[in-house]
Amino acid sequence: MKKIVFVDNDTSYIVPLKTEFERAGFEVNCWDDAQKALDAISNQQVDLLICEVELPQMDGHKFFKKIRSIDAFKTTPFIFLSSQKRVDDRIKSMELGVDDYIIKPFSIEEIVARIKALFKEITLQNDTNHQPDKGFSGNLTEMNLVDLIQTLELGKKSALLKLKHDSASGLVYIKNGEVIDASLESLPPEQALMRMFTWTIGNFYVEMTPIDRERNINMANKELITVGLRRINQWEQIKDGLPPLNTVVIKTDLNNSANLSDDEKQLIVTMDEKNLIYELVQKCQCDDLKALELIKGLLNKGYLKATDENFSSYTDNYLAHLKEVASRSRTTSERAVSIMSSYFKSSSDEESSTDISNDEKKVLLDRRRYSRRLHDRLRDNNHIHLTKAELLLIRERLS
Amino acid sequence: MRIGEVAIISHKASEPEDFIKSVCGSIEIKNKTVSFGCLEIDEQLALHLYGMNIENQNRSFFWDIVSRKMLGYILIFDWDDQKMLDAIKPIADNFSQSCEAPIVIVANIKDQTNPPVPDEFYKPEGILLSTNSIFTFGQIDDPECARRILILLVNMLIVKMP
Repeated sequence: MKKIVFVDNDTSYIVPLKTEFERAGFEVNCWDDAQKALDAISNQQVDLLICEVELPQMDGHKFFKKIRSIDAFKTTPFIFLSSQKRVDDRIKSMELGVDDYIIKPFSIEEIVARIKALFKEITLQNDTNHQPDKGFSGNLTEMNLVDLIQTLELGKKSALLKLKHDSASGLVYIKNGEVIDASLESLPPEQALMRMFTWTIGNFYVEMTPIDRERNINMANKELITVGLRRINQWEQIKDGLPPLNTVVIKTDLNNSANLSDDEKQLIVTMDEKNLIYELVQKCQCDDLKALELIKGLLNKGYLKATDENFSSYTDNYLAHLKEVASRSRTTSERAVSIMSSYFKSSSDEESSTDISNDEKKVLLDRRRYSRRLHDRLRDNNHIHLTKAELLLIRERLS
Repeated sequence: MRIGEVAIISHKASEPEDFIKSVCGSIEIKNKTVSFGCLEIDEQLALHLYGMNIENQNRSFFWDIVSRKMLGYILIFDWDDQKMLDAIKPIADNFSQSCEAPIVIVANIKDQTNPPVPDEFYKPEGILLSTNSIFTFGQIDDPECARRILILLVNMLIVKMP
């Protein structure tokens, strides 16, 4: 549960605010004095601080500076509350480095929504941006672990690879181009690596750093890459015909386990009431490929069934759900399927569906690809032309 | 005066205009292909919205020149007319391939209180297509909804900021 510290000497709205925060799943500690709050929280883990700017003893700005001087709070999100209407004051506050600025009076629903948005932003940022400078990052769909190993092997580089897939994070240690160790949860190094080979959705960050570590993986890179590629192929083949891996599956009422293998029985025993497919793979004691195969078998035999819970933001899930609903309804959802499928199909799949000829397409494509404009325009010049403080002001005005 | 610029692109002239009216209250400049509206954030900061109608335009339109300094793009299509989606798709492809600015793709619906898809698909926070693009349903002639769409764009920008 996220812990929020709230500092304001106006306590008139604290009770409803606290109730609403707790209903939204936050733990809230309220203080009417900044110094008291500082004394109380300096040794605690806090996820967010919200403070009124104008306080009688220690004001919000001083509180913010003191908080930031404590190591544990160097990056803790901080929001100012204020009745100040002057833009200069607000920009000044935001330029101190606070994450948001909320003008009083506000609705409690609004502040809860802003806080949720802030936590979401922080999670996204942590996933994508908050990485040290010396390295590079990307998407595992575009560059998977095999590609990364091959790239680093070519340059005989030493690096720490940080991979993230759903809620799991793994590390791969590469010394002079050779994979020497890997860690993922409590798995042995080679098994950890094998699992990470199958991650084709998620993010990676490559930190170029000297690696001083004992070798725990004895397979040579060439062999690892062969195994990795084979596993990716097998994984994709098994996945074919399965719902997206973050689909929730549940046990059905089928009780007759005579048709099941011991592994299948074991897998069913280890299941909770509801499981995401990928979680089930991780839970299973056997190799991931085998686990996925077992799940596929159980789904086909009717011992497990996919539910429409956990609707995710991923496009494939979205389409899968639309398709599922379309099978139940012949009205709007069918339309949803046709339109969304059409949209998300890649351009290359659409040779026949568009009214532009192939020749015309080639001319356009070539012009995009080779024109000087490609380099001197968008990618290089399309920076964000406003500051974060200004963007926050725009968002506030729009809210 | 600091100015943020956003391009609102649609195959129908009326859609960017409706969107701009919803956000800014009125259209300040309007011609055959472009409409313009301004939302003053305060005395030092404003948001300029450029509505662009691609109805009679060639697909090779030089978006990269027109929209050089845009904060981001809002691409609108009529949910009830699949041709509109087909028309907007090359633009979306082009932007997503050649541009790092965020894109919000909006399926414009007539009545958001009665969305044409089951409730679970109608997510006000949109559906993340990539780190740079979001798909959402929306009723663009509703001011609150139009602002929500702009907020989605601004949120993507904020996430990108150091």
